[in-house]
Amino acid sequence: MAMTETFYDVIRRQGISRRSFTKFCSLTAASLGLGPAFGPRIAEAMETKPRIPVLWLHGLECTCCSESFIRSAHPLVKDVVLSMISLDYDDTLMAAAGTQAEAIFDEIRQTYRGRYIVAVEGNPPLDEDGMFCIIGGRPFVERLREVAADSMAVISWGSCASWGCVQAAKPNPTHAVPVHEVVSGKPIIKVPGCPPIAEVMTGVITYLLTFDRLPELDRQGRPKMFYSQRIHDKCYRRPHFDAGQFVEAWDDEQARKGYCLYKMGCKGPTTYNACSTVRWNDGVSFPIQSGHGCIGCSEEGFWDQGSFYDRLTTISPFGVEANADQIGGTAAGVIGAGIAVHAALSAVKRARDKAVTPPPADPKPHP
Amino acid sequence: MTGATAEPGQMECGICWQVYDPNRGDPVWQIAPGTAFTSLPDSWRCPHCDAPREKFLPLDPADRTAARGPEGAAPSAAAAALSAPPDQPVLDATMTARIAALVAAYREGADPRMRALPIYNPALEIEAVGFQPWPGGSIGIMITPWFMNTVLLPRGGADRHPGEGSTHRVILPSGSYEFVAAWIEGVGMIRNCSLFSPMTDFVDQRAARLTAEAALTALLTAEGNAVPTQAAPPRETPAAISRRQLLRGANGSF
Repeated sequence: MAMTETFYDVIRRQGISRRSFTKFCSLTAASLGLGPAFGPRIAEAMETKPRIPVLWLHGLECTCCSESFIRSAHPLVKDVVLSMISLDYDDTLMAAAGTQAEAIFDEIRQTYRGRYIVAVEGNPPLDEDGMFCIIGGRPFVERLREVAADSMAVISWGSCASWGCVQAAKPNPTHAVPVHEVVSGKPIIKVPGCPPIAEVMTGVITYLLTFDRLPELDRQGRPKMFYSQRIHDKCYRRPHFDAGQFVEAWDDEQARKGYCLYKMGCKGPTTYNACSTVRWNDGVSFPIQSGHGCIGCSEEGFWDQGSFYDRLTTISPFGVEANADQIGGTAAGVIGAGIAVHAALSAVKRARDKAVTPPPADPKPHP
Repeated sequence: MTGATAEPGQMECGICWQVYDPNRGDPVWQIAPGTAFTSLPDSWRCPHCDAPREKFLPLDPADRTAARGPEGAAPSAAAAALSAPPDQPVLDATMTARIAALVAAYREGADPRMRALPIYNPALEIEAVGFQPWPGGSIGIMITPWFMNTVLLPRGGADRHPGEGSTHRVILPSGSYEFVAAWIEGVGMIRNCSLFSPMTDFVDQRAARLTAEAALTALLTAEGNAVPTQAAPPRETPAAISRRQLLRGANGSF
């Protein structure tokens, strides 16, 4: 049966070289923050384990997550992960349509009960019994609940599925809610961003396959390996912030010099994502590098946090109600002498480069 | 590249002649610059032809006679440099002057501009904490009312813009860190690794200073967080002359 073949079988059949394959494995290990030693383990998993079926659902969304995913920098990503490896159902990308497509959907659900992954792009609207998003004649929310109930885990792609994003912004006319508000009892991995970075998306799927377990998640359910650092901490314009050199108006002299965009409303200081390290389009650039501030698209409720051009501090993350994860691990104004050491250790740990430091707990010792 | 220009520690793949240069590391396997060949992980293979590491031979014949052990890993070398002999002054006058210049640069240049911003924490002041010798200069922590950075301050001021804003991986005893190159007027190029910014969390200067001291200790202590440098046993190097030299006849001994 086709489903029992491994990733590697598929790769070989497609004529991808061994070298290209090992390179993909080591690059993926690095992007997962696992260090070079994990490259061979990823390779081994891909060679020996049967592929995990993925059902990719689309709710209220703009398809930007799919667009990002299929533009992963490494060619193997799009060839392997997307078209060959594990995407069994994706109503946007699959060749099948109509009854055929729905048959695949039901087959996976029954054949792989408890062993498939549901990836959700977009979110379900609840108003009018879910009538604002109908797929195959039924409300999306019903279908999502059903298919998630038999799954191994749920991945919430993008800010829509993770937080609600634009369709859940005030006044939220369709009562759109993030996935975790309608699915319960299953582990949910949030991969926020509008869209998320392609390498982050493939990295999460590869991790699931390699280690048969969820990546380490932060308090908000995001994989720590990609969402533990702020844009601000690794920003290449950071030296200008430190030096008090700011862009004061679009296209002014300072903008041409590449000064810090904080005064233009950059949300880098409150946004946790990998943009300033992984960057986009094969590491070519990211929004700040192109001259626009970060809009904080991977943070919860970013549409309702004021204008993209409001300077931080007029909005909540720097205010008294700042939540503990938002600024440096503690609530505002509380690092006194008593917890100085704790604060220092967490800051050092956060700053440490994960690419050459293996995770503390080895999930499954290599035989 | 010929054997004549080989630098110590460079290794060459016996299959495809790919050269491993410890100063450059290996971007394919994500090996940080400064990693000796003997400190490469066991799983490391030739990034070009996937040959096992046993196939690698020293590029420079003189290298083979030199002991390979002390080459060691960069972190331990750095750690050794830190535990300076007691008779060595903590920081010489040049470094002290440069640290003072850095503090002055922030105080006079940036501070007046930052003071007006809401993220400025008026309870804090600009202070350099715990600066100590480091290969090529000094390392310490800079506290200002708007950031706290680990700073690598080189001995001399470099020219402007050789990669301002670029990131550099620096191996400290506790692990590897990304530093961002910054140009400071009157000081030159320095490298920063952000710990906190903004600084609104800090109650007072004492708390910030204690945090900085604890952070510096954590950065410069290998305890529990060391990069695993399971030193591989020295490789057998039976050939007295590299294949490359033999084939090219570049070696005078033939």
